[in-house]
Amino acid sequence: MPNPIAYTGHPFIDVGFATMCALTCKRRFADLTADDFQKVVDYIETNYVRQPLRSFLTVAFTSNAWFAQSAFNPDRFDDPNKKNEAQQKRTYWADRHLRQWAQAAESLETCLFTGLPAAALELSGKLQPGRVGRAQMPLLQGDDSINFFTNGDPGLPMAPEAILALQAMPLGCAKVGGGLLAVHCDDEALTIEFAGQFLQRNLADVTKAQAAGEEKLPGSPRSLKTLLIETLNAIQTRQAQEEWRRQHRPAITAYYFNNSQSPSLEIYYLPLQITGFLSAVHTPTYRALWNELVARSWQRPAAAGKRGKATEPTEPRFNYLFEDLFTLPAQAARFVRTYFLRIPDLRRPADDPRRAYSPRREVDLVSWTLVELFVQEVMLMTDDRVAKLKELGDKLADYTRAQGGKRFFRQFFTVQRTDHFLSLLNKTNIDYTRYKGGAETLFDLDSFLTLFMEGEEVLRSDWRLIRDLVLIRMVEQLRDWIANNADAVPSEEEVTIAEPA
Amino acid sequence: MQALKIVLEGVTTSFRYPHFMLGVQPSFPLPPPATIYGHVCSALGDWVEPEGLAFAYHFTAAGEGEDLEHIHVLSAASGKLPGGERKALEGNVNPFRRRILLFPQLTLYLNRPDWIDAFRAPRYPVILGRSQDLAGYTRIEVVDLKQTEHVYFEHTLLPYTMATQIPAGIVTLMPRWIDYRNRRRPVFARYLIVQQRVTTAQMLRFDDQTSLYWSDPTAPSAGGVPLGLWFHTFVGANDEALAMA
Repeated sequence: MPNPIAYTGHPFIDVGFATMCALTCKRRFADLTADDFQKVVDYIETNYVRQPLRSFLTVAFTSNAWFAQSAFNPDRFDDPNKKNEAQQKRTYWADRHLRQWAQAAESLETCLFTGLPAAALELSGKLQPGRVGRAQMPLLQGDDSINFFTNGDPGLPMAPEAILALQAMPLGCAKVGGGLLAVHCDDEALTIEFAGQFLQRNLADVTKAQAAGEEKLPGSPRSLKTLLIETLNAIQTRQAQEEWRRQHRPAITAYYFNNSQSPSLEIYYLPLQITGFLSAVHTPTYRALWNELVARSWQRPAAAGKRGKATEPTEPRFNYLFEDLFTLPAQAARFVRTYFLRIPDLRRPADDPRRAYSPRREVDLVSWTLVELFVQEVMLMTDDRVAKLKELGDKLADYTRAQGGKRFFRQFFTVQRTDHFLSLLNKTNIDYTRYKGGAETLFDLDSFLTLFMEGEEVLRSDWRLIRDLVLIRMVEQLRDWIANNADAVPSEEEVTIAEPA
Repeated sequence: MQALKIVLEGVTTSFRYPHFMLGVQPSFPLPPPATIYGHVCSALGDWVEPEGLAFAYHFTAAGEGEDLEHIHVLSAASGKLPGGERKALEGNVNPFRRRILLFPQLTLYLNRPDWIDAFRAPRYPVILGRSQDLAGYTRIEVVDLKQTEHVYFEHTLLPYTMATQIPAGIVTLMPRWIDYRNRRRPVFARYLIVQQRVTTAQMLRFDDQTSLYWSDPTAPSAGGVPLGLWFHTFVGANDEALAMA
């Protein structure tokens, strides 16, 4: 019979249940059985009271947690009576945190998140029975405080199953810097996948640290955002290989938190438009190019030291493309220019690969296909607008090849002033019409208004982005021409200088 | 159908995530339904019955920032004050980093046009978010909403079920309603927050789904398409939209 546990929508509780599923190889929260619960309890009971988890998990639960309390540590006493007393206290609180689900005690309240009966026994000497505080759930107030709790009653009523999930939750988080990263998705299966990826790493690190007698748990070499996208990529790649894709795109929210002496919380969103895009780039049409763009976005190894000594090779911390996904869709123009048009930023430090991007040397990476996907998925550009962009790019490529030549191509690539751009467009439209013998124009009024104007009188503030998108189509269409006219593409210095301040 | 349309403007606001209480308090980008319920009750001066009440809104802020706020963290106390009075509470002042939204503008639609006088003379000070986030109504009117197939949604809250149709937005758990008559018991629901403009032409449509949406003909249109409104309820099924005839 399935248990009544369902996805709650609360990140810490859901990630906790997801961790329990990952630890017991279950695909849904509802599949967890009493045996699974016991397996989770066994791991926690054995490992939370030892290093490296004992001290590390105060990041999630404070030093008041049952397993971290020094007074409950029997190993610190030589006196057998005191040792026994400490062990009894630890067992008392461990039972309340880990085993209430197996007891048939009558509860006073209903769990706020699962709708199940709340735990019946106390979890702290100060809170009402069944209520959790900061030592059980990160970033709540302490056991005494009445602020922010409904009706001024400290603590939140919670079911024993949810309390156990909260205990398991940190195992399904990634250790990054001084905090924990919990990844929560609106999709239960994906939440389990993330927790599973982080759990595997944590279990291996705990085992290694215990075998080596080390007291600290190593953290991820990656930055938070890079780790999040890298993990999502790994999951999506595996799903693609299994030829199983989700019916709808997931919404992903990452919580980076620390509940110890200096509590902190940062929330990062991957909205539906970004996850939809990331899901699509793993399909065969886009995969190879996307992987190449990713590969050229990793932080570069540090340069040799002052005395010419080679530094220790270290894993890169950042993938800048991954990091910049979190700036979308607000910074779409910069994203397109950097990653799809390969415009370098010479102000970047030496270990940043974007410093060395080059539209001249990396012309093979400039692809309309991927950009078309990007503008549709991320910028929500309508199909007719995309079609007009493509048509304009095709016509300008044809015009460049037949009439405009290098001079026009360079001008179009580097123009930054609004009046110069409008003037160039008008002049090119006349030239193009003449080139076509009056049979065709570069664009009609409707296309011009759709692509470049806000209403009928004001040029769109993002006209440079539209220009860059057209340029990407032109570059793709002109690859063979560019191969014979390499100097038509402005140099890195020229495009960087032409960047607006 | 007719709806009450209220435009509220303020200088600051903040919609605290309810379960993060320590050190830092992030804000939802849009007001949760429970905040709207509290706001309506404040204007009317009483706890109104949530059954049958529905709202839609469009909410924007000109920017956002972080404020360092002092909070008096209180706990129950015993003993007596120096004057001999019984001491009930004691506490300390703690600094919190709170995310605030600047120059908020809320356009709220209620299926109760008969409440127009209550909003013309609200019973309690007009606030949105924290008690210090004073605001004011800049427009109160009754509008005739239309049902139409093509609308656009932006800067609004939609039911979570629409995440399967809409290609943009973030999903989050929000307080839906707080039952003040039952020890302020909170009820939560998942919602889709849509900030970017999404038109019905961009949405997937399934056979059994309604193809008509409420729209406000008096709001700015986008390319000839009117602003769409999704009316949420406070109780009942999570994605319930009341019949508004």
